Amino acid sequence: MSTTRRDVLKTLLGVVVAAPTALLLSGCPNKPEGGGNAADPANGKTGAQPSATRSRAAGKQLKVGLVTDTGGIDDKSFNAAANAGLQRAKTELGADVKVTESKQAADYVSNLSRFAQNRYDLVFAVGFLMQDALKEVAARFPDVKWAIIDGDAPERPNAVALKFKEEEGSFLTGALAGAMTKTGKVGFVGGLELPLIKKFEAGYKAGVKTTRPDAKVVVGYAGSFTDSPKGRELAISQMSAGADIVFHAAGKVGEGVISAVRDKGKGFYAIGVDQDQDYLAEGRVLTSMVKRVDNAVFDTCQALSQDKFEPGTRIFGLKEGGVGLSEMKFTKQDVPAETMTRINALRDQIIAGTLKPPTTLAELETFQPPK
Amino acid sequence: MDHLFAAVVLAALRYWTPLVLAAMGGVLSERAGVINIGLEAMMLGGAFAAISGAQATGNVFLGIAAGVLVGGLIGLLHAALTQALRVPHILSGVGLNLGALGLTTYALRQAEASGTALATPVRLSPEAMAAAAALLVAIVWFVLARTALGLRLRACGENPEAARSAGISVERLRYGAVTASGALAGLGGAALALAGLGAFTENMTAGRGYIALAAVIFGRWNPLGAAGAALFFSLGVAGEITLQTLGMSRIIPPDFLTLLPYVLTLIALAGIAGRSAAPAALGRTD
Repeated sequence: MSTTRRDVLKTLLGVVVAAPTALLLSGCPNKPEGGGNAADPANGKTGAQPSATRSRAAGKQLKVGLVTDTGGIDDKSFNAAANAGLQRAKTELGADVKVTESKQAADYVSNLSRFAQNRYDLVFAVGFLMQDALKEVAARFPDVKWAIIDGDAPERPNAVALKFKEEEGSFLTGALAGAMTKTGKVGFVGGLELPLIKKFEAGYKAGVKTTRPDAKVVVGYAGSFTDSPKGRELAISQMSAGADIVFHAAGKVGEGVISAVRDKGKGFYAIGVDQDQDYLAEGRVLTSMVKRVDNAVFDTCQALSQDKFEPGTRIFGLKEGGVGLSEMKFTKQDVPAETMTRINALRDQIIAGTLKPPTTLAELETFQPPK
Repeated sequence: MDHLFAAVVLAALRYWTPLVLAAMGGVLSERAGVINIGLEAMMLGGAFAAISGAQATGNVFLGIAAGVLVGGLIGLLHAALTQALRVPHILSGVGLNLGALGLTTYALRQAEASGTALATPVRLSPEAMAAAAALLVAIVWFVLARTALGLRLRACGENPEAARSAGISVERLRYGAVTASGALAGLGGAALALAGLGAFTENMTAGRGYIALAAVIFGRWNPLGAAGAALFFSLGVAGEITLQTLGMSRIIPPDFLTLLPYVLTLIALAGIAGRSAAPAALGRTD
């Protein structure tokens, strides 16, 4: 059959069906009002010139912008945490802050540039997806300071990358799991087998080895960050093999892990990641390895307000308050006091630099647990 | 060892249930001549509706009904696009998949932003659901192979012109088949969500609709063959999970283990490859 006009029309029709839905997929539209988070309703929208009069009147008021990736400000993850840090800069440093949500990846450069054109002092790009966009704008606007969270910054005097020591927080979760396991077996569920996720695994295993040298760590990778039913199956399998605590570093897959532990009930714990996930199954999530993106954002604002902005890469570990355990709101009473003392002592050793958790499985081989 | 074997079989059955339901949907649609790559959308929509429905009513059966209904509606849309508007089947299916992912993700984020997770304490027993799925396989096989309706439906897929001249309303039958296909895939999504997590998460079907379609082809468009192919794949996944738990990833990297079910399927497919068994008029839009 040759290509006729009718065929072309058919194809066009199909594209018309697919296109709006693809748009929906690529970006969450802005809501008219800020959601139930800490966001100032006045900060929600893009475009309009900020009240220039106010900033002039205040003299040297810091103007800070933040561009989210397509996850939006209510993603309960990095974007939300970054915004929390920004709001803290507003209240504690009196900074003039503003957030732009990216509807699609193609908007990154224009959203970042708009802040520069409006003479903002410091602009945050949230997430490694914005790496390339940042490279472009950092070169085009040398007078503006740029910061990227969890991504690489270009080598310029006006750009900084904010990264985290996942292995340090994971070490503490491992140490806690090792101290708390009754069966001598704990689990780890990873998403994709990336070096970043291996960092979690290595730190966790080293922590377990420290508090319970004879304990076994069962490892499973889902090969995905979204297949939550598979996360559930991995956790079920690990628990039926005797693991009573399962740590996940697997995004949405982790929701399956937590659901499996919740159904298993008393005697089993999950450990959450990135954000405080303890509330997802009250009492069954022992703790969460939180990445304090809010602290990284606030610190960077504070440094600039004191004229101490440093380009390059800043790595936030336990010492800098960049990673750590959740406050364990629902499980505190389950953990013996001496265990908590031990965990805190290990934390202090890491902060003091006398204990260095491994970042890879190769480093784990030669890791010597502290006495 | 017995215990381990039982664990693998049970895990495989849990994986199989949503997969085989979607595959039965795929068989119905494709035997009537309509390619259904939109199974993924129908599963995802079904999972979303099932959780929302169960959450709103507190009743697991109303949750299932919502999943079946939404799956069926997406099926009806696919039928309308391909039959009335003559959109190429693959294009319509891909569009539906993108649309379902976008819409459910958006709705999920809206719900989360207003402080409510899409989750329900109401659950289905995975074993009961697997039994129901097996029963449905038998029904689909019986209808296709042993009834007049099944014969007409297959005629629509093999030779629609002949069917038309025999007085069969090809369009109407295809509308019915594709809508039923969506309802079955929607039931699969409901099983995935309600017999498992008890929650809807972003893109939780993670490609199961495509695998169901592969099972249809692997099973040579025969309901029993497709069910067997889905079971084969599910055993592969359950085996892979168990091998990881047993620590095999120390010898074989986990990435290779996660490939295992796909590789097994490919090998099996190559082994039985022979004449094409696809319905002759499959995918034609004229």
